[in-house]
Amino acid sequence: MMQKRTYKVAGHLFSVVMDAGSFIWQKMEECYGPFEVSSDTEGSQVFSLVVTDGIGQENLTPVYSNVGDHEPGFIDLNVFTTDDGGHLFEFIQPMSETVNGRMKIDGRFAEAVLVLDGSRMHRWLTFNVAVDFCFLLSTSSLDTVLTHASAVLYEGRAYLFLGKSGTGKSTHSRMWQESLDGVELMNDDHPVIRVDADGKAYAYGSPWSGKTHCYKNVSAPLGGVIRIVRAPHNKARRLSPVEAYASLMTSCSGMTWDEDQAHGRDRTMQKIISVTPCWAMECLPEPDAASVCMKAVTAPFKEDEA
Amino acid sequence: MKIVEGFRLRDVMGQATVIGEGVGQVNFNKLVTLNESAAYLWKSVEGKEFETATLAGLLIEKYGIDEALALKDAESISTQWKEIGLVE
Repeated sequence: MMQKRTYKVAGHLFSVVMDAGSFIWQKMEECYGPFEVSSDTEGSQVFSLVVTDGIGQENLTPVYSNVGDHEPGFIDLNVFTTDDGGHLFEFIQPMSETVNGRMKIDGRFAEAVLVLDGSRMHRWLTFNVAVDFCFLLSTSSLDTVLTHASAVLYEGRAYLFLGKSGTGKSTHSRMWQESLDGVELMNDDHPVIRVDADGKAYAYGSPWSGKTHCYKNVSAPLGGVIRIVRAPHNKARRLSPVEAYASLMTSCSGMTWDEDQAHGRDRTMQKIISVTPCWAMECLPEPDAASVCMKAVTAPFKEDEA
Repeated sequence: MKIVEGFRLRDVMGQATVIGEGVGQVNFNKLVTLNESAAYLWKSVEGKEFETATLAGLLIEKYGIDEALALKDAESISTQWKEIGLVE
């Protein structure tokens, strides 16, 4: 028997449909549980993902592949277009040629069907990436970006730390939490930024938090976007608009070869940087960096309040 | 020469900026800002085959500069674009 559950992330509703007995429902408890809402919640859904046994044969045209050509930590992926204007994603186990999942999604990025294969662990990881992709693709035209960042809450605002894998964004985020009072981790991998109808930018927790178990269904006005850069000193530098755009772009992945997806991301990023102070934090991996950073990035709000 | 597929000229907060958005450019990871005349040249040759002389002609047409200067500027910008990988 199939079961449907509905979730709300950054104000966007989506649903997952699969066998009531699937082990994935249990795996979802911890990270998706905080975002579950009643299935009759009013509002339109951005997507529905059905986990099933087969998706049929398709005429596929390859458009993108990152197999063997990307930063560690990203999943291996082949993307195809289908004759009916949709896309097919092949999720491949890194360092192997094993396909752990195939997902077909329609041209509006609203209806997805997923077939899983492999061990329980691989099926779960692939499922999680598939939901993450559906969210990214279906909300890109809705003033929403899924970022790659570590987000903290402080004095009612969210601050996002960006950086390539290994540059120390999580380390910096942890130093804020450990050495400064009143700091709380919001999400450690994929917080969402959404701009509302009044042009205000908000950060949201999500079910995707990497290795850190932090799946908070919280939101806060976005206080700053801070790129962590290794340096022999601790200094925060306010970025120019184009620098801010470059910084944010690097941490907002997207299927930008699709024109609508690219336009959506561009529009959202410009809205975000026009209302949000963006910084480069040149720093050492030491607690002093956290206090230098906090002083700089909260200053614009202290001035407003003074 | 021509502009490499996958680059898109956008207006980023009022600044003409080239962004790698196509399949082959998702790892380009850079933005290239263009001044007014460079953006004009880009828009004029987007999707077309062109030569340095084409760019020089466009500069003469729009800015009325003399041919020697136009050729020098056209040479300099096409060399730059080639170096960064924007044209091939």
